Amino acid sequence: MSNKARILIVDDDIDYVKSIRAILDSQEYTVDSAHNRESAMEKIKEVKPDLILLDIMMDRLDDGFTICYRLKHDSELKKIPILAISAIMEKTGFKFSPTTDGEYFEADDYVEKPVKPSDLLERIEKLLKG
Amino acid sequence: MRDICKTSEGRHKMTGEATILVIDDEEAMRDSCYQVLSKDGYRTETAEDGDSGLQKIRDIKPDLVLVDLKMPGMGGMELLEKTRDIDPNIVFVVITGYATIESAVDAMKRNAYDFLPKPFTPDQLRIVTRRGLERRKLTLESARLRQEKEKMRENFVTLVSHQLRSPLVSVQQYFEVMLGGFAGEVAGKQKEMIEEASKRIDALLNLVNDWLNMSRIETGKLIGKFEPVDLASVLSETMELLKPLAEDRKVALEMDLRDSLAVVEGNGESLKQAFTNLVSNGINYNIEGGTVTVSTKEEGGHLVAEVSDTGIGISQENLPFIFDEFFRVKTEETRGVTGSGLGLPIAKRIIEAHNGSIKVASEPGKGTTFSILLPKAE
Repeated sequence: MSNKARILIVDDDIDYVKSIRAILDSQEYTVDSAHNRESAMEKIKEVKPDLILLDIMMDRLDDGFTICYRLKHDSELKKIPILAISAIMEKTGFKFSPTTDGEYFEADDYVEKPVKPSDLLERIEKLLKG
Repeated sequence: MRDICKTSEGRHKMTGEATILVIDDEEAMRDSCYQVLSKDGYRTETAEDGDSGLQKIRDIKPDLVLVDLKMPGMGGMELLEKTRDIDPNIVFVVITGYATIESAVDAMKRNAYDFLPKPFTPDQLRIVTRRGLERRKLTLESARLRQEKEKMRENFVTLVSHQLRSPLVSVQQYFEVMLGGFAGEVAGKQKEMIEEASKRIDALLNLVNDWLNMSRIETGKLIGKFEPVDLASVLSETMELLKPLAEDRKVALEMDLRDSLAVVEGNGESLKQAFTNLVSNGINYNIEGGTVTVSTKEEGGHLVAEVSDTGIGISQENLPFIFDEFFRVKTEETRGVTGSGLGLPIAKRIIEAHNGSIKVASEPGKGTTFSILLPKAE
């Protein structure tokens, strides 16, 4: 199933989306993208992705947090794995690590931008296998 | 924190929402205060002794407390002390039965806002209460503004660094994609140039990171929580982290840590950052086949960690400037080394924030030794 998986990229930087798309295309995933909080929530409900690549700071400082919170507190959507990708390792006094900050930020995995293509693909495979 | 006054609704709301607690062992006193205050529209509660009063303070979180100084069991003074931990902004008015100036002054010294000598008239009670609540409103408002200002400054640093990093990250991601062959084959001169460009972007990203760390130290944010830290494990973790860099530069890493090393009071992550900067400095300015040695010893009330390398050394005229921001030694030998010029200043600031100090000794052609002095934990 994993090679046919549907992946949603949520990021406000269209260049970043383009480069990630190039990596995902090599693996025959079906790729969708959304560029802000509102369109992300719509897209998620519409296409029911198998995995979400989630940026954190978009129009607002905490859009990624909000999306993540909504998904992980929705009985149906919470099973979709979230791989957070951000250019910022930590907000002042607030580390973006699912291991130390699971309480606030329940992403299934976290990776810092820029990401090595092989590292990204590995993490995606792992999350898709569950 | 309770908000007794959403300013737009003014005084009316303040009267309506304010909660007052009256603590007095005399029933008549409690009743008359209750009558006056609840008739004026305050939510009023009473307690008959210090212990139940303290419990009520925890439960109902009053804005103002009227408390008798002299009660059986816990008196007003003791209650004042104990309330400070619950909410230091609760306004206290002490009721003094034996209207001596001394006891009132003593209570004011312990943070009471005002006093009311017995016997008092309903109007006196109203005036003191109104003033006390006014005070409560101002205190809460200023606390809220302070918090907001702090938050804005934190967000600003986060935002600026994000805005600076985002375009660089996108460029770097394109390079990664191209070098990974995800956008067609890249080879020969093109590949070489993309690799060089990618390195330069990396250096710029590091500069932004360092700058961010620097401004966090300035706002006192980077250092984090202090706790007892085992210096030996900080150093081992640092060395582990830098192994790949050392191997890349063909520099050996050596450690000479004393087993009985005492702990320091500090923040492990920040200390790791300081030592990472120092050791990577030792690796970067080394020669092929060179060594970086980290050793520790105790000296009186201090722990001394030494980071010494067998590298190119620093000349006497450059030595005074190496902890300056953005200062970098520029010679034939350092041309190949990339750095932000912030590594050493950051290390110095972190060490100084730990009440420690850092010294450097160097001889060109032989190497450099940094000695870091940190006070032992008590």
